[in-house]
Amino acid sequence: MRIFLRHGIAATLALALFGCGPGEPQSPGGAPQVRRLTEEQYRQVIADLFGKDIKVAGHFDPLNRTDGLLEIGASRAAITSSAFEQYDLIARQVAAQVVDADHREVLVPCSPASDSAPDAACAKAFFARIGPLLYRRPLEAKTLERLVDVSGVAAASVHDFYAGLAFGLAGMLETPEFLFVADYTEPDPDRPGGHRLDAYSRASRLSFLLWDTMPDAALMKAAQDGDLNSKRGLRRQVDRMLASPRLDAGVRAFFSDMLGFDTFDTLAKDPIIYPAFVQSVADDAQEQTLRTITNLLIANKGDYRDLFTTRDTVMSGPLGLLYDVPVTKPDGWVPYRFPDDDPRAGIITQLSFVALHSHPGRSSATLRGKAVREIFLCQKVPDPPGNVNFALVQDTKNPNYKTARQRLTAHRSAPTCAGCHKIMDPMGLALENFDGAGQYRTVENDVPIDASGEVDGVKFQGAAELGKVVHDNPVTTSCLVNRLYGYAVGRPPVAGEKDWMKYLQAGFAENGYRVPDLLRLIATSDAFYAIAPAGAQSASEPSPTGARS
Amino acid sequence: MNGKPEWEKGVTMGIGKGTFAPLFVRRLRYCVVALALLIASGILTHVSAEPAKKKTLGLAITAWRTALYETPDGKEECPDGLTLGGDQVWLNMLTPEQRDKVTRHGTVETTQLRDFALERGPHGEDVCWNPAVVNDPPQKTVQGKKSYGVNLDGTDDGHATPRTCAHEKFVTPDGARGIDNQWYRVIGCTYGWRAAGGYTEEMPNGELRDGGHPILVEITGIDDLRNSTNVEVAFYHSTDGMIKDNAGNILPNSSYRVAKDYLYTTHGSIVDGVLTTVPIDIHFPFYAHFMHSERFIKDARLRLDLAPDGKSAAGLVAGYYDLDSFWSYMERIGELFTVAHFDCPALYEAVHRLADGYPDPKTGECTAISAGFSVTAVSGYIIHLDAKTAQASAPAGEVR
Repeated sequence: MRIFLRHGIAATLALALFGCGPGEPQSPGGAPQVRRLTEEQYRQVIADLFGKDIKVAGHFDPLNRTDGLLEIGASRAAITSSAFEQYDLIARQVAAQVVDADHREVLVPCSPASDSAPDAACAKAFFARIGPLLYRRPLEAKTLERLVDVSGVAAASVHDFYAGLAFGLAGMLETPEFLFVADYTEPDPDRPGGHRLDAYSRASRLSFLLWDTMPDAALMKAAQDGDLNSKRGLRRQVDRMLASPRLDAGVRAFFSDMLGFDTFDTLAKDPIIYPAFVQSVADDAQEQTLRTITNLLIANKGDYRDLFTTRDTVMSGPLGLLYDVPVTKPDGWVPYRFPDDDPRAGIITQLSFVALHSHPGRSSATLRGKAVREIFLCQKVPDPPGNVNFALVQDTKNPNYKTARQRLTAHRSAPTCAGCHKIMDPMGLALENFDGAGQYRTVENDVPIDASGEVDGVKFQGAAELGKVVHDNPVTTSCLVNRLYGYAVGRPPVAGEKDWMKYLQAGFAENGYRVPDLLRLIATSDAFYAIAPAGAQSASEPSPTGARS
Repeated sequence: MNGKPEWEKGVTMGIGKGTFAPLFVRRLRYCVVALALLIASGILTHVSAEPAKKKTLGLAITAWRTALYETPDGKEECPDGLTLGGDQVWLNMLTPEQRDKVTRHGTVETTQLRDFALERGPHGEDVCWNPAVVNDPPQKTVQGKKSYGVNLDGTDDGHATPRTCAHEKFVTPDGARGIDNQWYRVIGCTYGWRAAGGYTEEMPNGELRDGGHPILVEITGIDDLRNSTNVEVAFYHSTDGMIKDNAGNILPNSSYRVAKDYLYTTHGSIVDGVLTTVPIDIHFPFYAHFMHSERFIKDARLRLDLAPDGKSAAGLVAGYYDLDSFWSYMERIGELFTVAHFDCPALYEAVHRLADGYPDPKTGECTAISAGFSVTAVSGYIIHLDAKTAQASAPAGEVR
């Protein structure tokens, strides 16, 4: 009985602290967001809805990285007229595939009376089925009616029922309702005067956070039934989604964003200097890190901090070339563990980091140090002054300064440079054993590389020990909390969310820095769905310290 | 991953786990005998330092071409000009009236004419599948004295021996005498094998670079990449693709799984960075013209210049090219005579007439022809998976 009581009290306390109960500090919420679908989300939604064989050929306008995340930039994204042309083109291509002879039998739920004439009943059945899924909320009757009318007119003019259907579908794919995930709000009964997301917006927010795609049928049903407004119903859905294999996609999307993998699209290496850095290597480098992350965080329910020290990863044939290791399955992925005495440990030493944060023809201790600070510690490093002379740093053949350390030491003698380089260089120089393509080296211009350093009074030797320094830095975990919450709500934490952020950080620590648990804490919280009432925007302005708390 | 030179890495995985078990036992036996001798001589008591660890080098062959000595327009080696394609040879044999008839006054399309030229046996036989059913003019062959290659028969003048037929010798461009390369003599004046139009060899090399099927060479027991008195050399086949850089060059350090169907081992030595192997019979697989084929080279030996960093190698594979193996490939690509400019009946006659190795005990005719092939290779990780299966699935008699 006593044991039962003790357990009961502990459970109640835990619930109070981290179970979205009364222990959760109130968040004022942010302004409602209108977030543009990322390209990956667009592709995933089309694949989920119509199948993976429907090709989305082309690219959309890139998003602007804001407060460290594209997903926050997506909340401030517009679509220009030229960018819209691309959406139009792709929408037409997708729609044409959906109704073509290879797919219509599966994707169109009925057969028209005639292939060459409008059929309102069949068109209505089609749009009634896909409409709510594309718009992520019930289709209003007048919208459905308009879609049927439009496709009917198109079908009549070209004497082709399916062409008419494609016309209507392409139109849907170009609407703001599809291209933007808009926050629809309603008064919050638990916070008089406050607002919260309505059930369907909750479903979308949940789904794009956890799965990086549209809500599935079960989630839409939960929204329709009001389950998402109850703690119990919400928790049930969140648990279901966290247990799904689709969680991988959600976690991958977040880390792709946080790690800046969009810049791989424009990454170029000098083929003379780094012939082995071919496109398949660049592709696999991202995949390796994402697999390392999902294996550790999801499959093994590991500690987030261990991402900076883990020697376990995966390897592909192309990557084996640059890592210079044997790969037992060159045409696929195999688990790989770097030996204990290997200089590589943690994702900072993987190609996706050291190659991405380098110049096309040389490594860059500065870019790497800056990236560690900004990505993993949420510390903003100021841009260099406009009049800085980089000639000395760029001259890798200077006989007087043969290593990056020597060049940067000379460069830092300029007072305008010293301040920032003092922040960046020690971390970056620890990664100098990896050249601009991420290949291991022991010398630069025949001079042995000194990869030692000191950060915040902690001395270290080489890349693996740098990973340990990042692992042990308390800012590492608070930065992750900050980023993940910002990613979830599409905005940086606001001034009134200071206590809430502390609460999240404490919860993250309490749960052993396990990311799925942090996701659960966020997804089941009130804060995740809170919307600041109009006129109360001062409290929902981005926190001046938010990005660094 | 480490910063050591290529050849210092233990690139072979799973060595001694099955594939090499017989070799391992053999080695062990040698060791026991050696140990006994050492003890008997009292030497062991004076040896305290540990023996240096043996190293392994894995190589993947990236190109395989007939070693041709070529001069501009073939003036030195082919003074009578280059060979013609089978269609032209055939047309040249016809009277103007016959030619006019078969070409329907010159209106027959090239592809159809090719078929006519191919199926012109007395009973409509395909003359590449049945090259002896017609008598075409002799093939133009190399008249020059220079060639690449090695002395395979050990003679200075190419006189007949129990294992060879009489033949002429070549001299290498840098003066080495006694060179055997009758294969070059046969095809050295044929456009399809020459550098300018080497379609018949470019095709397999292109497939090798784009589709995989590399031949692997694994050198084990290396003391020093410049000099090692006794190394083991194994030949494997892999179906894993090769990775190229943006310029199309095969990159070093790819991983290749050993396919289960090929395994040949021999011994060799490295002197001043040149690997030379003891001759063995090897079937070298290749893929070309949508077919899997092989070159069966008897007494095959390797002479490879190993780059000091171990990342690449280049040299020769020399031996006696089995004529049946050669023709089983030719009869299937016979239709290429129009682009490669060979004539199947003439080529068949020439290669048999000039064959100089492995005389048939009954007829005395040689069944293989001396040949030299230039090869290039890059370093690679050779992956031995399920070694037991690999050993069991190798063709009987081919695993040594």
